[in-house]
Amino acid sequence: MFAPDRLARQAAAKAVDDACAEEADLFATILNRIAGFRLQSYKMRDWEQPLTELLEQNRITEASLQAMMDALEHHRELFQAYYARKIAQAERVTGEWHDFETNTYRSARHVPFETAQTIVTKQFKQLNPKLGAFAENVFSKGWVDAENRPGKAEGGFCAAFPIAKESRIFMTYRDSYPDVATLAHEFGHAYHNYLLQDELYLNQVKGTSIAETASTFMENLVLDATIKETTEREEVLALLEVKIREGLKYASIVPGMFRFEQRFYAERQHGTVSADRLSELLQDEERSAYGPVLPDPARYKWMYISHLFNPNLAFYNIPYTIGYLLSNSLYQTVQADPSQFSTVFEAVMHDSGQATIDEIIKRHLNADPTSVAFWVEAQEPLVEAIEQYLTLTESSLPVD
Amino acid sequence: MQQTRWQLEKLYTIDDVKVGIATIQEALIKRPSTLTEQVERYQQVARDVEEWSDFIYCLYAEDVTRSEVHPLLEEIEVVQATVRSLAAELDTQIAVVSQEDWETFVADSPYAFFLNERRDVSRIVHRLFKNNCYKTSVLTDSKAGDNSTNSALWHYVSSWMENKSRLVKGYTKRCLRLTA
Repeated sequence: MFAPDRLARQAAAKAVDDACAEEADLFATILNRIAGFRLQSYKMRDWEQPLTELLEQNRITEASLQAMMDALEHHRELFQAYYARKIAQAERVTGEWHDFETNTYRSARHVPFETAQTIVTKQFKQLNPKLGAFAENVFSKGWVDAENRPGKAEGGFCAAFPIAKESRIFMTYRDSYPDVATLAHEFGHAYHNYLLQDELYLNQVKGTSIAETASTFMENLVLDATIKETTEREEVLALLEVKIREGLKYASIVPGMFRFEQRFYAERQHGTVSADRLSELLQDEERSAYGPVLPDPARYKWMYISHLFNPNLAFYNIPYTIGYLLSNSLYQTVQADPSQFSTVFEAVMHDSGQATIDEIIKRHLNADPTSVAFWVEAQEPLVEAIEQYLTLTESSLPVD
Repeated sequence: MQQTRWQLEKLYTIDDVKVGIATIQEALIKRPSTLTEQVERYQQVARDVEEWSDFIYCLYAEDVTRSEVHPLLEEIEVVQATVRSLAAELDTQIAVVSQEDWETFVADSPYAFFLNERRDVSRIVHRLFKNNCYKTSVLTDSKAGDNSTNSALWHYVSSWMENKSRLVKGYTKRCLRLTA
């Protein structure tokens, strides 16, 4: 699905569609049962609206969540301009859903793991000596499993050991810049664990949304620094695409998924929702997100987004957006004044097990979480990256 | 700066994992007599479960074909389910404490935020059982040093939980029927 060869992607997309079509009714039944059970439980708890559990699990108020969702409408046209430009770079007017899953520009640079270690350590050190020392310690003790070998699981994660007060980072490093970003991302989790390791365990338990804040912060830090130090246009565009794709996932796609879930739950209150209707609802949201450049969104996406099927975590997509935007806001604060890394960023991480999102924003960012302006401002790093991409690609638009 | 493996073996061995799981299972059998002890016990087992479940998952991720790890994954899943039940029990208990006693309790607790959050949620959850709730006037706390009160209260809470358990089973059946 991520192959540069479009024909290979099209073949994979068709295989995904064919396999999903056969099982769609079964998956719709499962999703209806999960939602039905949840709605009945909420009814018995006298919860008037289905978001109550989500708000509790994410330690955020409804007013703040609504302000965030409203703010995400603010840059919709710009986001759609990016999608259109990305497709135009491949000399097409419209795209298929898999075209958005892969980068149009690809970095040709080979980045050995040793170089990745140097990049991460250098950027962390430049920002804060304690953060730099942490990176050196992790690398020197060998807490990262980066080796590309057979038999390893796919993906990346950071394991926390609250008794040993250590972390371990797992990934398969394949010598590319996106892997450097993944390494920095997992380091963010490890640093968050490190900052909390002396707290009592129950005070280390983070809400689902803030769990991704430190990781997104470190990923942005390393990606931005690498973009700044890169001069070749194609390399810059490849790195920008990595940053923008991640950002739009949280600022454009996940909110659409959340709206889809809300519409599905609203309809589920009146009876079961068919597989066809589920496809229609999600395609409708995807069309709104991507704009006219994606006329035929993935029909069965609701079947393979595993978060939708999580019976324990309600509406388990939108927490990523909350965490991403909070991270962006912290990032802007620290970029404006690096001394705020200790006083603001670390303070937020310390509080992450003992405060709500609303309290954190008020206390440490001195902002109002219920104001749309706060969440609009938090999108600025993504907006800047998109604007840079649009400027750099302006001259390479195909001539009519 | 050259290492590309994560030195997992320097952290624990598989024998350590087995001892760790046994320690959790032992802690789960105990019946603490006070709420303070309940909370401490929960903190300990929740922390231990994270330690060992993450370690077992690391063992699996570094080599998915390692067959000796597969039974450990299943074993820790069972332990995790038991700990989730323990959390539900704790929620039940903290929901029934009177507001006055609760304020005294959390004022002395280092986990005030966590406990208040769980109480807020569990009180809403247990609104179903409000006819049986919120009758408790004295908190089971060893700090009070009154064993007879503690025993009486423990008996009350246990009976209440048994009653609740029957109700939950009834409601679950109803939910399944309604969502079928």
